[in-house]
Amino acid sequence: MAAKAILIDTSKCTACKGCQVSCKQWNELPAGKSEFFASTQGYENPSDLSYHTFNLIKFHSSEKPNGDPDWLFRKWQCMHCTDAACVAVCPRSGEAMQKDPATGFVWVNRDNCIGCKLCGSACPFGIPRFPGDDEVPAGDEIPKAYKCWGCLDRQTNGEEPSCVKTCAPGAAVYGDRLDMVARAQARKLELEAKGNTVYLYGIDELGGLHYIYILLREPSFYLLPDPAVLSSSARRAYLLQLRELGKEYVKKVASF
Amino acid sequence: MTNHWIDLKNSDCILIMGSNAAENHPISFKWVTRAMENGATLIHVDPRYTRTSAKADIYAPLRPGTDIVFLNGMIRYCIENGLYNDEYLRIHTNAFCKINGDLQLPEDLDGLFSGYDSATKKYSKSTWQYQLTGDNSNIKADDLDDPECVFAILRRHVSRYTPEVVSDICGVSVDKFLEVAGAFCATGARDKVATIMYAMGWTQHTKGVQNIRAMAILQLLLGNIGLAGGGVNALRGESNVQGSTDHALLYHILPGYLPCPTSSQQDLATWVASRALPTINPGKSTNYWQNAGKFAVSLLKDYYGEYATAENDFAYHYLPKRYGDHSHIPLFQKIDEGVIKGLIAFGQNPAVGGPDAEFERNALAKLDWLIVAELWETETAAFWKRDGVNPRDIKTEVFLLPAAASFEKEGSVSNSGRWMQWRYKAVEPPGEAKSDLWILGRLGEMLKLLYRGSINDRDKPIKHLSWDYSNTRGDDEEVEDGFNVHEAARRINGYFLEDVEIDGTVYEKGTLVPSFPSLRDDGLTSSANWIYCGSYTESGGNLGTRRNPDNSKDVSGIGLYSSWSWCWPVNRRIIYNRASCDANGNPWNESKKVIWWDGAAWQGGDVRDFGTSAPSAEVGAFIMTTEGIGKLFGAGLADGPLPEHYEPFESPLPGSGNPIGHGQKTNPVITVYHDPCDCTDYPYVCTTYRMVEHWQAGAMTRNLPWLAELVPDAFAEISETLAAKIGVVTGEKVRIWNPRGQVTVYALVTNRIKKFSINGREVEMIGLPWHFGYQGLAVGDSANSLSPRVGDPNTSIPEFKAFLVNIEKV
Repeated sequence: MAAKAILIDTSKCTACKGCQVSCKQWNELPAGKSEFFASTQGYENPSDLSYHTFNLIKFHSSEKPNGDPDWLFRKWQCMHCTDAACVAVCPRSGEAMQKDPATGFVWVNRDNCIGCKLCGSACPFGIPRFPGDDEVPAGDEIPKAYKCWGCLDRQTNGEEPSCVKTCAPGAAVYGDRLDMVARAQARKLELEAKGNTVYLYGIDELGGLHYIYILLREPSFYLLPDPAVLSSSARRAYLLQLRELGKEYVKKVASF
Repeated sequence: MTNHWIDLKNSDCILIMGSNAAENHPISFKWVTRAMENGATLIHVDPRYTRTSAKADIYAPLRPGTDIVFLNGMIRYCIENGLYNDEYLRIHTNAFCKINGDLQLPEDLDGLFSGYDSATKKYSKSTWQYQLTGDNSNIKADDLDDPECVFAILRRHVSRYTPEVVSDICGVSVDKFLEVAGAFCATGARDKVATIMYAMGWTQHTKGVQNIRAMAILQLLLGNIGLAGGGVNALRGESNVQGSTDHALLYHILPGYLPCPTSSQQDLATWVASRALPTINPGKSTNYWQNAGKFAVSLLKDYYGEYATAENDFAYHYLPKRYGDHSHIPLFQKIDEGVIKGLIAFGQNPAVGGPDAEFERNALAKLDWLIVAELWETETAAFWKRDGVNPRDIKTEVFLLPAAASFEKEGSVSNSGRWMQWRYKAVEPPGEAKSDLWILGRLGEMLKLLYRGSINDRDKPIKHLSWDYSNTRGDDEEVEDGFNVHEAARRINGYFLEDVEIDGTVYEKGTLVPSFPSLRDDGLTSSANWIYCGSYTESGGNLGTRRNPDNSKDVSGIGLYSSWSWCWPVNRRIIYNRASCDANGNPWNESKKVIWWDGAAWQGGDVRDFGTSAPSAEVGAFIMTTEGIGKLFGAGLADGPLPEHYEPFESPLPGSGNPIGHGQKTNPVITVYHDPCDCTDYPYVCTTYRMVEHWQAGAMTRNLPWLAELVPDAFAEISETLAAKIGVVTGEKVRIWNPRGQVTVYALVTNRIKKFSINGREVEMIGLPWHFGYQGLAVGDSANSLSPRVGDPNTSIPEFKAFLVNIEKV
């Protein structure tokens, strides 16, 4: 299987939140007690990702140069980085936090998660979440890491992820990563021909994300880190991992 | 819809007005987006900047209740700039038809059309009629400058609606208005087409029908009706509201849009004649309603079977006769007055959704009994234990019947595009919940049992009602306590009741009628709804179950998907499709052709809606009008032959004048049940609406944790300027009130709502979602505690979209 990716065309997203609900339905995640104005963005709710909200539509209000309101929407979830800091820093990397070798999506096997929360602090996008001590789901003894896992159960059975499946306007599209990159670049030209300023995000960031965005404002407007960089702890963890890999490699060569 | 959902993709310009389609019809954006990818322009005209506006190429604001000003302004723009399709006007509309010379317009009569009787508040329509020849054909003008022709009358009527006047009354800038008008009216070009998507933002006004007529006029001028990517498209607000309308869950019609008999129609012929009006332009007008008698008799044969005979007028006298306005508002008035003693609320929640909701809740307490069939205990079912009332004071006996949800029962759902799609039961209903068919079926059975021994003639309509739905064909039909939904569907289609020979073919007694042209007025056929005749046949079976997405029959490649489900009438996906061609039968746009004349015969992927005659026979495209052509001007409505702007029942403008420049401020023929609020005490325009996260009166969404989580509280959206004035910020609470009631809700201060400048006067608007009530997981005050009991004079739909309130910080 070639590496997969999800392309998010924010110019087509209507913020219907269908993906938000279908995520909870497929992954059997409970609703939480929410408050409408917990976020200052009004319609945005719940106010943040959590151990039971893997996917959230972010609303960004501003004003167009002509004085009209501007209202931009962005689906927010794990970016599934190629250079995934969470995998790098995980003390049980490859057993708890790990990359699916076929698709490139990142998931956590909670049976092996020790609840150290290093992934949460290392993630440049602040994605992994942990239940509070008093809300640990049944089956977990301690607060463990939760995040979008790209519905790998669907992907490995030839189905697109649940959020993509439900997207009415076709703002979320799933396929081979190379195809998604090509589509993003073609769509950018199409939108620019209509007078838009378009930014692509995720093609090269952190070795390439498995979520690629077509944005109508600069990434920082959408609160996306630009440039996306690994934290120093994640970098250090990476180097350590490389060193370990290097050791293994040297040992292997030496044994010839 | 004249067209259908998928067809939106064929449009060059989509105007969404009176609708927030991205939120309330989210699936529509699959096709809107497709059209935009193909280069279409999306325009949104709305009082609020919504998620639909956020996707639009052009957004224009307008004050609630001023759509006719905007649309008449567009009609004027179209005419004065010569952007109409003149050939379409000549062959497919009544533009050249001459009207009675005594007709006078609002500009002549201080805001009224000729024929108004101030005592009865009704129009006599004698001066709105055509000039006709001896053989009942239209007298046509030689050219469009003839002052008695429809086009010239329309031109004179809209001449007052200049861009500056539009700007002053609607609160939109002249530039923005011209941008919208320019983009939309550019589709008057032969090879361009525009569509309109509208919903309750147009209908829920005291001139709702005239809003839609204004759009129909514009679409006819531009030659956009009958074409792929065109039409006038009502986005129905519930998954099966098209089906429920077709099957007459309304007070004024019987199934298939046959009129409900009135007390003055004492025999079958008189009733039928009220629908089968004389043909104008005989030979060139199909006037399909001439067949109304066949549909009426077939309906009566379904209802009363052997008891409906030629000798007894097919039991016409069993049908209840209407003697007044029995729509929602007067119905609750009658409940309040103690005239109506019992009420069945089936999938309806008037305690949240009705106008002046507290009035309606109080009226429920005057009933002897109330039956609510629902998925949850709604506000209506629980009205007797809401805050502020003592159950001990309420005598109404309330029965709550648990109803099955859509996936717990089998049956058809007709979508906005008239597609009847069959659904299967996925799971058994929980507990004692039952399907609607079972509940209604058993209710009918019990009534028949109750009257079984009666010797009164007046009880025969119940005693003789044909109530057997147990017939089965095949093992896969589930009969629940004697009720088989397939048999209901077959009865809707209709049966031959005797052996009948038609064009050499003998149809045996007990077989299904193939299509409605075979229905008869001699009692040999039955059909519970003629427009669905052809949906369940001997040769095709249950056509609503068809799931063949193969588009091989879609010769023109425009996404008709004719072998997917079935649509009325006769599986025609785009109605009035003759109008997709010019006088010679050539499509206006070759690349999106629907049907066409190849020189010898008509061709095309869709079912034609007129006979087989050559274009030279000049048979009109509009087969359901008496004159066979589209009406730019028509005498059918109660409030005028052309749309004229009137202020909402409650206007934010002081004085008695209409800002368009005459003395008739509000619609002169509306029924008034109570005084309007005055703008001195209640200066703010309130408009109510839905959002994607919740649905209707909220029972189906506010009880679902995942949806309650998305929007857990009631709120009001207000502008930054109004927020500053009353000193409130987002997340604080406001009290909104008028004499009818009050709500206390969160404030959401937003730049998506802006004050309007109306004739130099600042008008602030408050936006209030109406989903909330006191039952369920997400609760809040009901916006309809504030809405008035006043409606459109043609349909009686309440004016939920524009009324007056006051507001303060709590």
